[in-house]
Amino acid sequence: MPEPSDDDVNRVASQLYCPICDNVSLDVCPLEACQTWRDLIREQLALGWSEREITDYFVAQYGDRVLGAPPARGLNWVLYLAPPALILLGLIILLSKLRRQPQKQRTTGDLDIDDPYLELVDRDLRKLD
Amino acid sequence: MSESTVKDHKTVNLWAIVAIAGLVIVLVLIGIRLLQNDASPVMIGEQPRDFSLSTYTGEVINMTDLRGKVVVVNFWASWCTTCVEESVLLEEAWQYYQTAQPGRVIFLGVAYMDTEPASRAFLDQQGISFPSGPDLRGEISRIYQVNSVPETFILDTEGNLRHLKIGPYASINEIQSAVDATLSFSIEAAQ
Repeated sequence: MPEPSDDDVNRVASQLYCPICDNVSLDVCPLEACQTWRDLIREQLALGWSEREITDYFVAQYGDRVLGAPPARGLNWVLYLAPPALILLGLIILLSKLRRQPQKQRTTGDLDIDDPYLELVDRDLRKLD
Repeated sequence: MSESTVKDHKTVNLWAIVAIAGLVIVLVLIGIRLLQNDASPVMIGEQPRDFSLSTYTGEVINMTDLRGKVVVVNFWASWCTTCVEESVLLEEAWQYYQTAQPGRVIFLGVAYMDTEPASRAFLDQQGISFPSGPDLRGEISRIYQVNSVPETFILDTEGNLRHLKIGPYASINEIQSAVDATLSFSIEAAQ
């Protein structure tokens, strides 16, 4: 197995976040601890570990905080499904409201015909014919 | 009002109910998630949630099995410079209590956000003999709300927090006075 290059290490490190800093990815983190983690990634790559295996190892060791986004499992699904579901629901409500508008106008027309006053006018107009 | 208009109103109301119910469910789930992630700090006198520590020597230590002993939980890391000096003091105190109070005090080292090779090297270099292990997934540090190292928590024989130290101990006397006070408290509480 060839020695992993700095680019190889940084490619994996850029997908992981420093567990002891706020929003700093491992490839640019200046802390000594982050250097230790980058060294560990280099060792793991040299041993032939895949990017997925390294990411899984970091999650098992330090928790989900090392990932850029919460993994899609358990309650985290809410974060992924809620926004599109709410948008879809909003669209359904909007469409059903819009569909109701022309029907309302037609209904008003029907009511006018049933109006006794208009019926009287209509009858008188027919008599004129 | 015609039959179709009434039906349309009912449809819209039904969707509105579904939307509100969906929103409430989402908010409840987000609330549960926040509660899980954001535990409040442990206060003196409170009992922190029990944890298991898988040590680097392959032992599994459950906090529930340590009732009846004073437990010193020390969070450290190999990349923490102040942990180096403190570890010497802790080891010295551990040796002292093994002789002075055999079986009544236990020290646990929790490696906070460290790599296993670096942690093992640190333990070898510092000659640490008390049980130490990694804080897997950050679960133990989440219980104690640890955000930096070193931090030390001393629990009484009932598992309640009696002493906490943020930062390194300055001397062995400081460690002994905290442990002795917890031991005395436990004896008085038992009487």
